[in-house]
Amino acid sequence: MRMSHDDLVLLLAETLNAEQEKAEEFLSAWIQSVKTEALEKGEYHVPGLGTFKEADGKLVFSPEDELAVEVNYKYAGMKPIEIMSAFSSRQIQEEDHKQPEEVEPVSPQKKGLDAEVEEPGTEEEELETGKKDESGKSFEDVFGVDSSEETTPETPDPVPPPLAYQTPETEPVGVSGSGRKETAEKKEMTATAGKPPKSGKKPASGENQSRVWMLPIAAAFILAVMLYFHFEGHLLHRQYTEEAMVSDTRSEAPGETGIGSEPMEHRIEATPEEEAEAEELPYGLMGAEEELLIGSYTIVLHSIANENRARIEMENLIDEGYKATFWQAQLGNGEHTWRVGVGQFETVSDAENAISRLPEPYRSNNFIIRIR
Amino acid sequence: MAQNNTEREIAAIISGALKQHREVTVRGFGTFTVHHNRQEHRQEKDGRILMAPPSDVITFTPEK
Repeated sequence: MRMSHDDLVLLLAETLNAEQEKAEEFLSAWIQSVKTEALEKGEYHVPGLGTFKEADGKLVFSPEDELAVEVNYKYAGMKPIEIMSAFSSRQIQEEDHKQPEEVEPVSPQKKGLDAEVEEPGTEEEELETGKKDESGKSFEDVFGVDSSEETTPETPDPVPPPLAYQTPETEPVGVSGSGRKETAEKKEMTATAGKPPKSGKKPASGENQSRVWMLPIAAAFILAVMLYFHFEGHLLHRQYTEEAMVSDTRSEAPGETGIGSEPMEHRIEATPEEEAEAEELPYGLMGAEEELLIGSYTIVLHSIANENRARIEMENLIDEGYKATFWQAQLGNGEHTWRVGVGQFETVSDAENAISRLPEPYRSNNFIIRIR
Repeated sequence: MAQNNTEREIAAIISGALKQHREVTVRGFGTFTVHHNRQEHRQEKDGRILMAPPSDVITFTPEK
């Protein structure tokens, strides 16, 4: 997958209908002019390629926006997703008085998520989706939503284990069950140290009563946090981890069915002009799909293991007026999945613009792929 | 005019190769490559933890 200098000269000679020696001269002259202009005037713009600038005596290149998007077409439209809000993070830090500063950014070496969207057309080649990293942690491990990873306290705890953000090294960053218990024990020791118990009476009954009332409140709070991150995890799961999603759909995971079965709350009403345009041109988001345009881009909304379910989702989208299609894709592990996409677009930019017209949850859960 | 045409053709050849994620080496100039950034999560100053998506970016290494 390399284009050498000689390949470039050969192609240039063919394009310009010139001898290779002449093409070599053209190329050398162009290189010289780029270097001279960039180093002397500060920058030099090459239309269709990008801008060369001078920085510390070296050439620095910035590609044109359109080229950058075309190269990044597999991940176009993806935006950073918040996986833990500031409120949740602060809440956990406040609860953990012992190690509040341990919530630190996770280094790339420690991150356990290495999922990607597959290469269109060569999906079997380089899927890293669902692979576990060196630390052996998967997607669920990172977010602590996998019940199998929950730490079991040595002694039975009436409160469910809290859901704290954990590094892949399984070091509890937030609150651990044992940590909280130690804190509580310390508090109890501190409280009883200043007030010696009276003889013949039970010590500190008021404190025990308040502690009993706190338990259900704490349990309800922890349950709510667990549900929140469970839902968030599935959203991420759908957007980034294609392979993991396939393995989930084999067991009919709730994340797949949940998003796929959600009704469209905001139906897009296609204007007459858009409908007319859709009838005239094969490209677009709305309208009937008359032919599959190989090489065009489409927005994938569903990735489902079951063909019938994929067909149903496609028909639902068609009923909504979308130009929808579905096809079978092979993943790197040999598994197959059925993808449902809407629209056919000439460029990635067109597909990105169309995403903004999609209703939720599709607007936030999709990726662009090239039809091959 | 001829120089503009040559420049346009050179840009088209290089950008076409980069769109196919091919590495392009230009002797006496440098190497264009498509670098893959893996997705990663980071923590903002306000405590939020964000998951940044993966991306493919063009890098240029000038020849020494």
